[in-house]
Amino acid sequence: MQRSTMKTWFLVHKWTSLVCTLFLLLLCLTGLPLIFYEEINHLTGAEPEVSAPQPGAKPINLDVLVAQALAQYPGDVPLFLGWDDHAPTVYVNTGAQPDTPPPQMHTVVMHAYTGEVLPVPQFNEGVMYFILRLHTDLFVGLPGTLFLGAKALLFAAAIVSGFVIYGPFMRKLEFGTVRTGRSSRLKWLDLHNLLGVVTLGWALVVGLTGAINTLASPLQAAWQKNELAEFTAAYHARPTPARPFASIDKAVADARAAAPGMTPAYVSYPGTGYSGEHHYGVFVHGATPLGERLYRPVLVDVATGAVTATPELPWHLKALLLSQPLHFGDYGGLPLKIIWALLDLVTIVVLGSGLYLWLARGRASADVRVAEIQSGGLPIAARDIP
Amino acid sequence: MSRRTNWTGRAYVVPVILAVASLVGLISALIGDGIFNVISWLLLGGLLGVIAWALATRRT
Repeated sequence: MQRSTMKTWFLVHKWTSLVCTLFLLLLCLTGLPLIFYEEINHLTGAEPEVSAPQPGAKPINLDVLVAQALAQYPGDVPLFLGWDDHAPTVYVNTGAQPDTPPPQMHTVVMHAYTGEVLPVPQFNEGVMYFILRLHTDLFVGLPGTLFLGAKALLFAAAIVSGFVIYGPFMRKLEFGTVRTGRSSRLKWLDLHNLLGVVTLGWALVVGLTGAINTLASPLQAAWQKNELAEFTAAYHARPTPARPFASIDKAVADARAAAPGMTPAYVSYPGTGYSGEHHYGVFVHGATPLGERLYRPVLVDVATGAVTATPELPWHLKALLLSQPLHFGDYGGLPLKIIWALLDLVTIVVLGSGLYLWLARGRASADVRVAEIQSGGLPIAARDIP
Repeated sequence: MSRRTNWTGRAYVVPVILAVASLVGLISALIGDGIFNVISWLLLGGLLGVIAWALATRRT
């Protein structure tokens, strides 16, 4: 490779890394406990152990559960209702307005078969929620999310440029060489290269899917505004539907019938940004590992209780849903989560060593570093530059 | 590897194999449970094994 090309790649690696490193360290550190979100919630009681339903027991009518939730928060309106995949519980999110954002929502979790209100802390309080906000939006909503998404893209660029300069640097060295006997800088440079190149595929996927995830709410909003609007075009001129709405219990039962083989995961109320102004969105999903990620809304008119449409999600929202597990690492059991956490720790070392290499760069210019790369990994003094 | 060459691409052989293994491991658990999860654990866990192996044997 030409010296000038190499220098460009070196500088791309240096600057993309420097600009994102501190935020990436934050993302790696906050991401670590988030990998075990479910397990930690079990330990802290945020996800209570619930008694299994009696044989032959029927689930409580959902309208009753919603009324019960609203009784806990007088003046609120219902926003979402959903089922736990692993426990016989139903949660109801409520808020002062139909478009109440998650930080201001109230949540009531109930036993699906007895209706008992379970003593569960609010999802939007506590340490884990604090960590989640740090990881996803830095407490400033969408701008924070998009900002972190841009950092994730820089991270991906740093990985690619690091890969480009890895080859020339390592061409005289065996894979995995860590020269511990010489300078501290050389030892950490070799470690940075080894750990970085081994975790490259994983880090690239987690970084890029993280960036894709930051687009979730704009994509959701665009879908609701454009494609979903087609299905509800006939409702355009109608006034906002009056409460009380049609039975949600019946809406869910009809949605089940309209989407055979799928199970409802959650229901959105009108005005929440998930199903327009006139419909319940009963989001159903399949049972296979892939199908369980691909939600599909069944739209039920809240005025008449009739099923209006079951629109297919567009490809970009499907891609988004499928990219989420690849970012979270929550799709292959506890062993995968543990591996995910260890790879995350390795990434922290890569970021930290990269930062160290920059801080310990001394007075060597970029040209010295480029010569070092081109020599095949031999340390070079400034005087050796031709 | 006894034969040393200065071909730049040789440095990429192992990393590319590891990257492909990572991708197969990442996708495997997405496709199914059971054996697909095990494949994923072995391939992604293998990355940690490679690091341990290098640190144990490739220090100079």
